Amino acid sequence: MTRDITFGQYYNVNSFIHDRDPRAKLFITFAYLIGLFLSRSYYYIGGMAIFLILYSLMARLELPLVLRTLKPVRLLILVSVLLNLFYGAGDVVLSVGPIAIKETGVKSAILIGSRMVLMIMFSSTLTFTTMPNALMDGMEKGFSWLKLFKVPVSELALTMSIALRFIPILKLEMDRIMDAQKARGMDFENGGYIKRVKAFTPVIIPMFVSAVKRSEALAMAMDARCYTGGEGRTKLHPLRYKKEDIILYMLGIGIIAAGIVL
Amino acid sequence: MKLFDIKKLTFEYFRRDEDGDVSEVVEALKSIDLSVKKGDFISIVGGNGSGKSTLAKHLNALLFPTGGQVVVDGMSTDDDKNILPVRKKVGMIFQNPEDQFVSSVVEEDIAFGPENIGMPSAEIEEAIEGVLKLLDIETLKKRDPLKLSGGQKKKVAIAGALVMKPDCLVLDEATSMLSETEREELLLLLKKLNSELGMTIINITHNMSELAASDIVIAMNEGRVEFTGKPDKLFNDIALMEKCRLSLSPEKKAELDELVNINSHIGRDDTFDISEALIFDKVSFSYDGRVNVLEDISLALHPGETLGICGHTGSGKSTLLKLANGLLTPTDGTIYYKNKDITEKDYDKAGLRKHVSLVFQFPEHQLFEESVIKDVTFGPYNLDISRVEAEKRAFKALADMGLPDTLYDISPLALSGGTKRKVAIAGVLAMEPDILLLDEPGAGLDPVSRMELFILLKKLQRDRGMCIVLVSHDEAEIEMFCDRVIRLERGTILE
Repeated sequence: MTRDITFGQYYNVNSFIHDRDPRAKLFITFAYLIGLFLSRSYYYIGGMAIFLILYSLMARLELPLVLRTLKPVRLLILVSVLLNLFYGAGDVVLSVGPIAIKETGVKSAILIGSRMVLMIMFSSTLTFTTMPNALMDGMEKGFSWLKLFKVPVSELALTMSIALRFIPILKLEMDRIMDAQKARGMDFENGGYIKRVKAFTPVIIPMFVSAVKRSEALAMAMDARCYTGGEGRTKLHPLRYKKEDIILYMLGIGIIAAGIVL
Repeated sequence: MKLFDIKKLTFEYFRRDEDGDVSEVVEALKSIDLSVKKGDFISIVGGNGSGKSTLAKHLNALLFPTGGQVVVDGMSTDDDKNILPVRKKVGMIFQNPEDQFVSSVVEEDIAFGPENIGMPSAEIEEAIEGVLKLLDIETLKKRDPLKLSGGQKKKVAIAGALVMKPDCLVLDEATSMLSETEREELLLLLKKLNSELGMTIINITHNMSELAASDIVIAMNEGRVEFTGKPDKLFNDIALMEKCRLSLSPEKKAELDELVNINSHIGRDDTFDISEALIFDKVSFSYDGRVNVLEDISLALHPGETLGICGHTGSGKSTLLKLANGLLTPTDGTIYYKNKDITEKDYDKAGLRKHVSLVFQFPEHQLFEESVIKDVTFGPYNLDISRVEAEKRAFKALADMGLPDTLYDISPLALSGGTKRKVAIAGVLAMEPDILLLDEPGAGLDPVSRMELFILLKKLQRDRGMCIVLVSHDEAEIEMFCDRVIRLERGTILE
């Protein structure tokens, strides 16, 4: 239990954005994503990039930190940009042998590339500035209108936050079982691909058994603590808007409006 | 005033086979009559599978009788509208706190119960402050419950029950994974809740030393209550103690005494052969490169001896075992086995594990094959020996652990807890190690099963001459069973 596993990527500083209501942050994030796809104007995209930088500054997030979130998806971005570059119409800008790059290709490559980059970076500010629990609370409240359509929003939110809480436990459990099988002479490192995949049977089955047992135990413990579903539950820290939260809503509306106009 | 009034309580459930058909009706509780006064401190003891937990779950309407009835403070659990009031009145603490936390912040977890019954936010906050203060854990309020010590986790779980202002607290083997001092602290706390707040305490335990604290002891066997009365009356009834798997029969006791004395000279004189030993030379270890979990450990393990290691949770006991069979590599210092440095990069770690085997805590969690025999042969099949030889070793290990051949084709998951444990240990023994490392092998077993396990291990040691290293936080047990004992505290050996 000595190893410290934290889930999510909450960046623990105090800032104006950190203090905002998760619902307001969810709203501006969605507004930003929608805005990106409303306009094809370079000025608008440029403005959105500047907005991202200002927003990160307000959240006291360093730019390298936000940039790092692109790393896992860099290949995907590159492939999308290249695909768009080669499929295009209009005047030929550049040709090397049989490959020709055309004007619309360049345009859509720039557009898709910058949209993807901004989209991922802005979404990351949401998880950097909001604790997973608060995010779940925000979603529960923010989507509570779905209850009208019989969507069990509260139950889903609780399920999600419990699932998040169990990830580090299951990770530890997996390490324990792997160690136990290694102690019985199992070799996870060597051998071909098939052999290594096969080597996971002795890990997967005990993991599965353990997950089922733990969920039964948890269900029992929740029953013992009078859980009967979302109906009639209260909250220790209910979400309450502050005056400043309106700023994020206004910015969000501004982003969408500008996207429609430009 | 009666808090619990239980009449002819019977509980049956169906055991199903692989096709989902009922193969057997299990009678877990057989016509139990029991009444509990408000404000009593009660201990429930009995062997694994005697029905203690099943009975406990009837006390707060988590299970419902298939026959007879359970009345809690005048409310029968048969009536659906009583379920929530009963659950509110009787708080329940389970064995593993990790499985009962719903939130990653202590205060939010404690709030779960009050939130469920619709308590207003301000009142919840007040109630939380109250229990945090009562349990003296105010500093833990904003912490992640998973990152606390064993004793602290238990307290958070108790806070989560106390915040509902229950009349009674039921603890299902809540002290089983705690160190000696943590256990004592928890018992003191329960005593305080009992005497100062008049709370009824029902403590299910395998630890006989906890009984002295209780007003009344209930001893169970095979789904029946065999005894209700004062603790000393139970201790004096030797036949009953034996029947409820609380103490060994005189013959077995004599056998154990004899076995324990065989090797007591080893490790004490200096004539041993170091070419056969596993030696820790000034070993330090750190997981994160900052805090040393172990510091400057020097230690030798000799063939044929039994070494005991005790210490708190987090004192580095389990880390020490993982270093000994090469699952971890020291950050500093060296470990030698048979005169070779096992920390060298090109040392054959897999080869080492054939000679130095580790039985983890709750080893039954690693079982995965469809039959007992297949699971036990898994280890030896991984060795460079013929399949016939591997199977021979597996059969021998199963016989050595006293498991009858009628079990060999059964799924290990269908076995009872104690038997599962023996199968898992057999799976490691089948590797025929020279050094056997065991991490809390008796955890969760009833007193007799524990002793029987130790008798088996001691016999094996006598016949095979292997070294046994036993990690446990039960100091009395370790003193009795081991030739020498070392104490770890914050990663160093106490002299």
